[in-house]
Amino acid sequence: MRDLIRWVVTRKENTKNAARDRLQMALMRDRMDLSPDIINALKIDLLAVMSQYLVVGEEFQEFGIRRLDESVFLVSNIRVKELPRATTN
Amino acid sequence: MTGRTIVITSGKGGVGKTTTTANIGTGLAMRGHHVVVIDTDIGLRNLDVVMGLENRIVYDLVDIIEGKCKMHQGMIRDKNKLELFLIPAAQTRDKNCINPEQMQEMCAKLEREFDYVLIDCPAGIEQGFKNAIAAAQEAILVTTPEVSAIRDADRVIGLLESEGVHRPKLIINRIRPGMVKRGDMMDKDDITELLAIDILGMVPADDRLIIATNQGVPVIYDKRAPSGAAFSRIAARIDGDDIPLMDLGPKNGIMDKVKVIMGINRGAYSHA
Repeated sequence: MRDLIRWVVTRKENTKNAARDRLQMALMRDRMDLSPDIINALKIDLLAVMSQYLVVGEEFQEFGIRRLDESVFLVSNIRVKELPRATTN
Repeated sequence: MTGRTIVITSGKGGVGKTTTTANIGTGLAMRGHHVVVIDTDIGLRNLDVVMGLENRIVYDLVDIIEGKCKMHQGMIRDKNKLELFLIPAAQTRDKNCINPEQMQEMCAKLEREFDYVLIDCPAGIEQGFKNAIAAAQEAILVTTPEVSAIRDADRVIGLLESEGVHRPKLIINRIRPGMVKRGDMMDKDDITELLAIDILGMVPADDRLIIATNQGVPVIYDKRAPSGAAFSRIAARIDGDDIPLMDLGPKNGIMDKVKVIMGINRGAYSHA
């Protein structure tokens, strides 16, 4: 039923939004699928940034692009070895 | 003389690469430049028929590259005696019979003689694509406002980048302003945002283009064709003129509608 309502509403609004949104997802997936180099560079940069604040493991336990419902997520897990002491309150 | 070598590419087939190449080439030649257009779609050549030069082919691209004829013997001059020449693709060979280095070598020679070397790229991303982009310093990406064409264009942007051809410029072909207005076709903002590249021009869907192509005449010669005017502006932009993009679309004032009905609306479509 909700799908039906959404179909009626979006259909009435316009179909180009559907095209644009679907493409956006497809391109994101394509781009990620296609460039392991970029994923690698992203990992390295993220590690560097995190190391400025935390002591973290040398490798991500998990790192990937996941699609959930209609959004694409970057899912990553990394072990935190040491937390900095609070220096302010 | 050091000419500019520009590849016209798209990824997806049938979006108008060859028509675009013919019209931009003609447009630049009309502006007084020396232009050579090269069909690299070996086995499926078409730039010759689009330009109306199919009966004049003696030698082709592969003959030139293999040294079976001199470069000038393999070039066919435009019918209107512009400084515009076509190097047709071979029809009975395949894409693997030439390689990127040979294209680079040939285009380097052409750049010494011509202001513009335009390369019409085959569809796809295989050997033919690699040959076509090897010699190019710049790229023009042709797409239509459809999901499949845009997706393939995005793929090609990545491949161009990895081959060292940076910042391709986008032409959106076959825009139907009425559909854009109704929200049933993506507009230039949607598309440039998705692809994250600069736009070079927009070409409206135009019956007059089909009529021109039937006759082997680039539509840019048709002064009343909206698509021809769009190609003229694109050629001028490539040539360095600062021409703003224009809104595509049927105007919607009552007088415009009256003019349309009366058939006196030469500009029912303004064009970009």
